[in-house]
Amino acid sequence: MIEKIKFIMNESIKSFSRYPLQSIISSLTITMCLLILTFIIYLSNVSNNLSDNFKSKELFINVYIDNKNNDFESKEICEEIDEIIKSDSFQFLSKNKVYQTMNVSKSIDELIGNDINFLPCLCKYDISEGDTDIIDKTINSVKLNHDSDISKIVYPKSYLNKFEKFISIIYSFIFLLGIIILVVSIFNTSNVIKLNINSRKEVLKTMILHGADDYLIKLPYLIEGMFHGLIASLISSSIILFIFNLDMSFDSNHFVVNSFVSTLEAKSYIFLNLILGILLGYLGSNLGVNKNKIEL
Amino acid sequence: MIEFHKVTVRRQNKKGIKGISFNIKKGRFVYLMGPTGAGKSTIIKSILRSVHINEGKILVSGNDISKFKKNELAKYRRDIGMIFQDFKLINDRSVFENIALPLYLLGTSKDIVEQKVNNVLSKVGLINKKSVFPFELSGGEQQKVCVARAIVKKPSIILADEPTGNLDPSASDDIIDLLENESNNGTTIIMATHNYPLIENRIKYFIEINDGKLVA
Repeated sequence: MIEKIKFIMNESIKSFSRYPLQSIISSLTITMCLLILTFIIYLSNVSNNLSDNFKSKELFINVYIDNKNNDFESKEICEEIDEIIKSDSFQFLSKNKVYQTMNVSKSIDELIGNDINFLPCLCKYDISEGDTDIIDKTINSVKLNHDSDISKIVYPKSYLNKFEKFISIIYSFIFLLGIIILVVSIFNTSNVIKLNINSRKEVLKTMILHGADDYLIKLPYLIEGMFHGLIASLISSSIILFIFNLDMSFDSNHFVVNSFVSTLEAKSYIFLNLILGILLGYLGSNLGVNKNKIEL
Repeated sequence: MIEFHKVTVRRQNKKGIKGISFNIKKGRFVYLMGPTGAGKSTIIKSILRSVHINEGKILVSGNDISKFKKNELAKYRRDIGMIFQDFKLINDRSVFENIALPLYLLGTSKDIVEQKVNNVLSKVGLINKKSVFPFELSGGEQQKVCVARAIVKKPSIILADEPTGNLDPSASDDIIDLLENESNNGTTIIMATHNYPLIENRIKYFIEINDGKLVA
């Protein structure tokens, strides 16, 4: 049995020198499939980043305190509201600061003078909760407890809903695309391996006529397919490492731009490439061998 | 050793064999004779079970080979040495690797493979050419490699389908000498040929067929 295992391994490895062109074509086919699948994984990572960054940078509740309250009273109310909202952090803007953020024209500024008591104070709460129903309940609770002290509550519900819907569509699209590409990759690889087997039909016939068992015919191809997958994953990993080492730093603080920087490390992509490469090689060659049965 | 009981094999273009019966005893060198298309190759292929047997049964060492399953068939074929008219050597493997193939399929260890292949190469006079590839050899030398590949595993039966069909008379004589030598050591040999002058001085046992039927 050991000698037969040695024979199988020997046949698989020697096929690289016996059939270099077929081996190169097969490996490059798997490489292309792996690169496309890696891009799909990257897209999925980007949409995940977009969702996370949007929630952390853009989700907030603005509570305008009724202008009858002065800065000190308003700040106390803000703190009481925060106990209900339980925000990640909150920012209190006094009447003066609110006025400064308004960028009013010089003529209006002269007209108003120092009388800014008509303005409300603003409490800005950063939240991480993305579920609009839970936010609605929190806001109702705030209104119930501090209705007379609140002038207005603003939070981007429709904006959030649309964004969540958009991200969910992107996720579904990427998932579907990933499945299609995986299936196409398997068929593509199997067809290349099928052609590969076809070119060696006479060798296989000779082996069968000399009494080769079924596994002695099939196993070298399966192992060879896995080797092709391994080589392909090494090539695609080199390309991924090269891309990771390119200087592509962004000078932007906008969350959309930053979301395009992969949060998955290069080693994660390489690991996925190794697994997918070997799997593609195995599935492709298995399909190729089964499609190309030689009976004598 | 080999018994044909009313065996019928239908092949394309109305070729094949029709209700043939004969017995071949162990260790005999039997010539299958007849014109082209008579059914000689079909008999060889039937014994090798590379064609479907439509009727009758073929017993080899008492076993009905027409009922063999895939794994039994592979095991049975490992005890048969096959020599083809068109050699069927693997062109991207050296002479040594071609001859060693049946031994590897049997699971023979590397040292023994080396020893057996060298022995058989000496026997056929090609020891100096063990590293060359088949396409670098003459037709006669290629057929000698084919004979070496068939005898290296010391099979019980050797089937030779027109082994001298593509060779000159001198090379043909060498091939038959090698096969007779194996027969003297107890191997059953069945050789198909339509070249009667080549074998007329050697012939002991023969089966003559024509149009798929037994003549003599």
